[in-house]
Amino acid sequence: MATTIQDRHSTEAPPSKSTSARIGEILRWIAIVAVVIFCLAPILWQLLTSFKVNEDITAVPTVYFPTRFTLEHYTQLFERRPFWRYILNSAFVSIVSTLFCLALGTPAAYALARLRPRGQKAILAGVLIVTLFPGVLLFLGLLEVIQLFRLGNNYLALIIPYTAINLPLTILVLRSFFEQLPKDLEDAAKVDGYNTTQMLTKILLPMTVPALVTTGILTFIFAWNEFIFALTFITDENMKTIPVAASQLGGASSFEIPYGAIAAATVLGTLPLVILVLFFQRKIVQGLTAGAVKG
Amino acid sequence: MHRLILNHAFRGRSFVRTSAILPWALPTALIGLAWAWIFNDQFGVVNDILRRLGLIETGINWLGEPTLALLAVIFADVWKTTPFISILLLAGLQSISPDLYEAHALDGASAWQSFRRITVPLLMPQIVISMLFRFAQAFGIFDLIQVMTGGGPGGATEVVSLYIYATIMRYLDFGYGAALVVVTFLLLVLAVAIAAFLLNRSRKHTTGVA
Repeated sequence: MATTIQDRHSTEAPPSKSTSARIGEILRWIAIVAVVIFCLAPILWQLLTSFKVNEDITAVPTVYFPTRFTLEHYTQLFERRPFWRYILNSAFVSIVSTLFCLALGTPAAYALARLRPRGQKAILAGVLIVTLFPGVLLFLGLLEVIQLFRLGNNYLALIIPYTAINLPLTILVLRSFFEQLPKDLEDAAKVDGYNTTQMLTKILLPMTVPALVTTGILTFIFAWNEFIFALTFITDENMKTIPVAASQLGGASSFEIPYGAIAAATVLGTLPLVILVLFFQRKIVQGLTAGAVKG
Repeated sequence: MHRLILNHAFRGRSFVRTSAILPWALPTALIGLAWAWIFNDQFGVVNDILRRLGLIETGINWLGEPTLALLAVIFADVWKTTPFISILLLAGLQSISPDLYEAHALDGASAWQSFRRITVPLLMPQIVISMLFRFAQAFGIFDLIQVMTGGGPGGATEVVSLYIYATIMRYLDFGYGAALVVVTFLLLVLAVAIAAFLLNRSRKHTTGVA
């Protein structure tokens, strides 16, 4: 993919217009730098705030280049609150729902891609429409279900909805992957004497791993970031996920807002995702485009 | 502009792409906290910059004034969701054949002309799809506003989702809450239907052009 873009770029800039091309180049770099600053500034600002001492945080005019740094806000999070628990809760719920999603979504996507059942367009449209509806329209219904099954303050109260909500995207992304996979491979495996189960597990599954990673990352991100279900279905302090816990950080009194601790919580809660994006940027973009555009 | 930049090849592109999709990937609730801090009336960095530029003397109460709070929330939401739109449109841009631009340039068309005549029409399906997505998401926006303003001041930033949430969780009025959910749902279905209609039309339109 990268090479085609590069080729296109070289054809787009004709060598004759050197001055205007150079101005264009400069303008483009300014635009690029502006976009990068715009995207990173709020996060970097929160990062800087989290290491400032309290006097610098509330100093007017604002201190941009602090000389004193502290880890106090971080240690405070772990001492005053079960912050490890929050991280573990988020990780557990996100990972388990991601695995469920892949386990259920892969066969469904494969069936849609290969068997082409009747009404598959209707199925896909239904799947796509579900992804459009915001969580706030679903949480009341789910709340009733959770009360019915007495799942309040149970990890399943988050794992099941996260799995369900992320399934559409999983199915869409994996379906478009399976459709690109040549069917000849499967036929060849059959000729070689593999039965269907062997063909699926020994030939197909290993090739699906990259696509599974892509969708898994997306599902993980959505599960980690989810707010309204986590806020509504979990009230036990020890079971809260990071976004909810961080949004509920308060000071000793309602007038004292712990800006430093909030900043530190933001940093800790976003760190896993920053790492994911750093390593899997390409896969995330691929996954999103495959899921959204082809559907 | 965002998306046009991302489609170009240059050194460090992967770094730029990474930073450009970062806002999308981060938890909205935490991002809301970050923006609330940036727009803080006493110690916020926005007020500090404005003061240093000499544009204001005393800090503006961004999240405490109805119109300003709404603007601040919208700004934060745009920051958070632009990357997603960029990714969608980027996919569309990459599917446009470079030959088209070449042929158009040979015919003597300027960059602006080919942007208007090739890029925009061929990108129309993606533009409509992303508008649809964005509309549906923004309609149900919850985390960001809940964290930044809690719907205040005085209900100025109270969107449908916050109202539904408060009705159910604070006032425990499940029946009225359910009715609100159904009405909102129907409105969204209507919006989606209109968008799907537009999408169909733009598809026909683009095939005609190409």
